[in-house]
Amino acid sequence: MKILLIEDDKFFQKFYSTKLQENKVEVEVAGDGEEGLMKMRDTKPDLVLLDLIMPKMDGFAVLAARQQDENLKKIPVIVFSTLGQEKDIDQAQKLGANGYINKGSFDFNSMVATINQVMKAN
Amino acid sequence: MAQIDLAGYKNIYLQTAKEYIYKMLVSLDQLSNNVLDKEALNNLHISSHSLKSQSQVMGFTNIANLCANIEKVSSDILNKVSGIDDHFMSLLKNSVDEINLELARIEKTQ
Repeated sequence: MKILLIEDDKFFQKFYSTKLQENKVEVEVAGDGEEGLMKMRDTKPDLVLLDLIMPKMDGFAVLAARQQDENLKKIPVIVFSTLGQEKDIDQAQKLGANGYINKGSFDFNSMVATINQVMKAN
Repeated sequence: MAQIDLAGYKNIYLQTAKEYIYKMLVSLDQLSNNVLDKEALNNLHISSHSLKSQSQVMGFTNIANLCANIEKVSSDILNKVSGIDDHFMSLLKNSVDEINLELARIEKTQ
């Protein structure tokens, strides 16, 4: 499986990439929304993990652009959230996000379960 | 929850945390000169949010809570729920100072 991680934070880039690669997942990283959209088109990942709050182009703008593109729409997207971001999750789901993962209380098993659930549904 | 060895992430945590602190200090400096500087507020909001998330993962709850406060205040000001005044500026600066002290403590325990 190939996952595109769109995340500006270097700590989380390393953290998630390492954990996913340890579990035999191919990981591509994009540091902002613009690069993320470009890599979604170029690398055709099986799934995207998307941060919402980023400089330059945030996760909401990525989701909105994805909605306008028939090819990108087919790629499932899971957004990262933190506690207190319930409104953001609602907004992301309205923009077509397929699931969300709590970034602050990291639980790898729960992350894998969410990824599997979203992949099965899509 | 699956156990994760977080020790290997401490250096990159400290490195990125210092970058966020620097960005927050620059934003506060810009806001001291112009309280209506939306870009500075936005940068303060993003930096505090990002540092909060990685501090939660690392289990540094004091820093996570301080960042959550900065994030809330900057978000309220951005959304015009509250205005910015000397009291808020002082609160924000004190919070950043406290985060710096916490980071120094964490670094010493390496």
